Amino acid sequence: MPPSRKLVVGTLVVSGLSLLPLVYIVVRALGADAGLWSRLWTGQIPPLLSNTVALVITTVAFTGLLGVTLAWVVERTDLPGRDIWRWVLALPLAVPAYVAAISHIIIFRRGGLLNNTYTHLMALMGQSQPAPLPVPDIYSLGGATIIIGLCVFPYVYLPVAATLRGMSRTAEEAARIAGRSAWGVFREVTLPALAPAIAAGALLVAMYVLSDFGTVALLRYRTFTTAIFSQFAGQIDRAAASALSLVLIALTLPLLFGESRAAQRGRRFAGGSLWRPAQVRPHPRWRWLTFAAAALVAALSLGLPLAVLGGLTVQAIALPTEADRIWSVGNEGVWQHGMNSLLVAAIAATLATVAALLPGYLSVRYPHRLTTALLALTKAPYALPGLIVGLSFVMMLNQFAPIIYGTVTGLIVAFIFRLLPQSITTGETALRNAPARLEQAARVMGCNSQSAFRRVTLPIATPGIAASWTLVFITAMKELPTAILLRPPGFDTLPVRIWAAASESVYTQAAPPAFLLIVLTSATLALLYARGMMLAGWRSEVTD
Amino acid sequence: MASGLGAAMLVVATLVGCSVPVAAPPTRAADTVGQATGSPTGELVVYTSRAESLFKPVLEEFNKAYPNVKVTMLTGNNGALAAKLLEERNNPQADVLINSDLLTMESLAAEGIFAPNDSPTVKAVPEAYRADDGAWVALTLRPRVIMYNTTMLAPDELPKSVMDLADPKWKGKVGSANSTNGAMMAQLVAMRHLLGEAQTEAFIKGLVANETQFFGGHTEVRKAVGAGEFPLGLVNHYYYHLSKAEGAPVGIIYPDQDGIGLIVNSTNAGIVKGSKNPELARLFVDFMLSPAGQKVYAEKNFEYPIVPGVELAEGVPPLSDFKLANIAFKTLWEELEPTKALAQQAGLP
Repeated sequence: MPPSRKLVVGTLVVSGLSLLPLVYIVVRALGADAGLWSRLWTGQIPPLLSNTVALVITTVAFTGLLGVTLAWVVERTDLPGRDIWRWVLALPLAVPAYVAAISHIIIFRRGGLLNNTYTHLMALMGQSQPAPLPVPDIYSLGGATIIIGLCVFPYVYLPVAATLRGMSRTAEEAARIAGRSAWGVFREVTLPALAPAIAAGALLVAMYVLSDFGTVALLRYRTFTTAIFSQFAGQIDRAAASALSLVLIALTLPLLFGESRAAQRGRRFAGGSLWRPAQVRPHPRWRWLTFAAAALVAALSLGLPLAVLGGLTVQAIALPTEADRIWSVGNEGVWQHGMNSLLVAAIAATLATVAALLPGYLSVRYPHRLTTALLALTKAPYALPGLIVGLSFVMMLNQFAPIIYGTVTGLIVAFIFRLLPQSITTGETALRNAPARLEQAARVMGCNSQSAFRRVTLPIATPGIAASWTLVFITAMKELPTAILLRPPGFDTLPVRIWAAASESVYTQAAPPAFLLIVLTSATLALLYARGMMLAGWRSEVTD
Repeated sequence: MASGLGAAMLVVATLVGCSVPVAAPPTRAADTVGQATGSPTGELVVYTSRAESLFKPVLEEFNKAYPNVKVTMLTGNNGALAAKLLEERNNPQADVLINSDLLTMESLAAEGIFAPNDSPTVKAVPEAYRADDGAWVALTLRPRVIMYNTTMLAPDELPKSVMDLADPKWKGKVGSANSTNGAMMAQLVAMRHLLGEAQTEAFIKGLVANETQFFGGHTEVRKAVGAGEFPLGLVNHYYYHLSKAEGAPVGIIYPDQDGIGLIVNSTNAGIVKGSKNPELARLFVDFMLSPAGQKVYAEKNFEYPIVPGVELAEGVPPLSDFKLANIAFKTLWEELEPTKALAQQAGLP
């Protein structure tokens, strides 16, 4: 049965909308004169290309290792406190990487917390000129990899953990009986089954790294996105920023198609009535060692920023300085910014999630080369720096809807566009979990397609859709460039305040809004976990 | 296609419009100057590339004089705000732009972004530092200098010229603003004008080859020099004074006194054409040029007031002590684009 006309039209509209910024960039970039391209090729692109590719590779490798190991430890070993780790290890998603970077800068930079404490301690011990403390250099590829990686490894951890949990014991058991060692079982049975989940997670990580602007800028590591910002901020003409963005898009396409191949090649395992939960193997010798490792990851990714930012916030409120007064730390300002952030993020995430159901449904129910290609393409703007998406909006709103330009509505519209590529990605996963068979059964029993969707598919997919909404909401809470470009005067969000303070190097004034941002986002995650929805969205087709 | 997309966007807009009844941005109802109370009343939107921590004290002074004028500020990078004004030209959102680069002002004026202003306070400013029709006017002056960390460098080994910073001798030892910074670009425009294309290109390439650390603004540069991350920073003069006032071990070099002289740029104000409150906007600009307004910039930020007679902050030597570069930035704005192309080609971040 062919898809209904409404579904096709709806899909085309939503995909078209999410592709609009891409169209804007292509038009602007192709309009650039040849001289510009040659200047960029000689001056900018080569060092940026190697920097960007290096950071993507190291971060994907680091998060892959971290995410898979932690998921395996939590789901397959008798790690003490497994149930708590399950959700604690998802929480770093609530920490924006640029906020983590600020926390690390406060501690590790020269004249930072670590250095000062050390100097004071040595002075107390009578040494006025102590040997310099060997502090790790955070302004480096390694620093950027670890700081970003610690914030985004849940993108790998969550789907891998969900897959591990959903996998039946059968295949692993058979391999054990056939004489495979524990490592052999993992390598030959478990890992291939995890491949689609790992690929999906790695894609999200790679897209994040490509689109990230704040973190790398703070850590002084130049990538395409930082260069796009320079070209954008330094030039009234948009051609150079668009040209660099086009190269960035070209970088993402192989990633997108690689991921969809990995998803298709993923092995399926027996499900249904044969399904039995996987065995948890006790590892008495390793138990507490793995516990310590998990605790270290949580402490670095979550504890460190919370402690630093919380401490500075308390200090700013208890002992306000002149700078704190100017930055209106501790008065109603920061709450107002928090409300602004919540309002915009909640509305935009909801509308983006709902709109994303159309293309997701079409591609899940009517798999076809065309729909697959269209869907892969709509995900591409995910890697676009928010700056470019925002920019295309400044132009389009002024042209087509000047009335909402410079209003909160305009800001929300731009946020929706910014979020669509991600909500399409996560929404598709959610819909995939609702088997077509059940919907067909409802059709046979007399439901029309719309009521079959409403009464069968939607209820099954709801936990997944909620999980998708959460991820999109968190992205919206963290979103910086779109807000910078499109906020109405006087309507600042938390990330805007954090960035304004950080860009004047008054990191301590960035602490209160950053602390509030982490608290608000992790509260949302916790709420979702309490409703048992956290992992549902990631349950992959292995249980189908 | 275009109409389809337009229609789709309208649908989304309506949807969203329905669901957002709250938290609209500040509306400007019934703005009038000089109501019954006699005190001007209304709202102003000011775009500024100046640091928020500096600009807020200026606003506080303004509100002491005009308590019934609500000023909403939107901060941003110099070039980004200029681009925003251009995109918004048919749908103006701002009343006033306060920025820190004269070339950008003159370029925007040439695009017709500003409204003429014949206020006597504006006309009193020397012609080199205002648009002919008063569309923009300089507020303060700031020379480009080099600051250094006094614990890392001895007085006899200091560079004497900005060009020296490209010397391999200083590899890994210099911090600078990048191409997004108006003051940095204006410096390059001046150098290109005075020294020529080839020398300027060699200078930029030398900086890049020297692994110079580039930042979006000068605050990071001055903090890093103060903390000893690197010994030298190419900045505006007041960044030295700000660090000095914080107790950092820093010194200042007024460069090129045997050569081209100090390059002096200005901060400026312009009234946006289409401003919904032109009268209040003029009031605001006039206040910036008044002794009260000028004093804040001089005292809190160590800048050189454009209006004569306002006292300099302690420790700030008068500009007449120095050899100044023989240029009028106002006449050089058309050299900004070729300089940007040069910077792009030379790989300036």
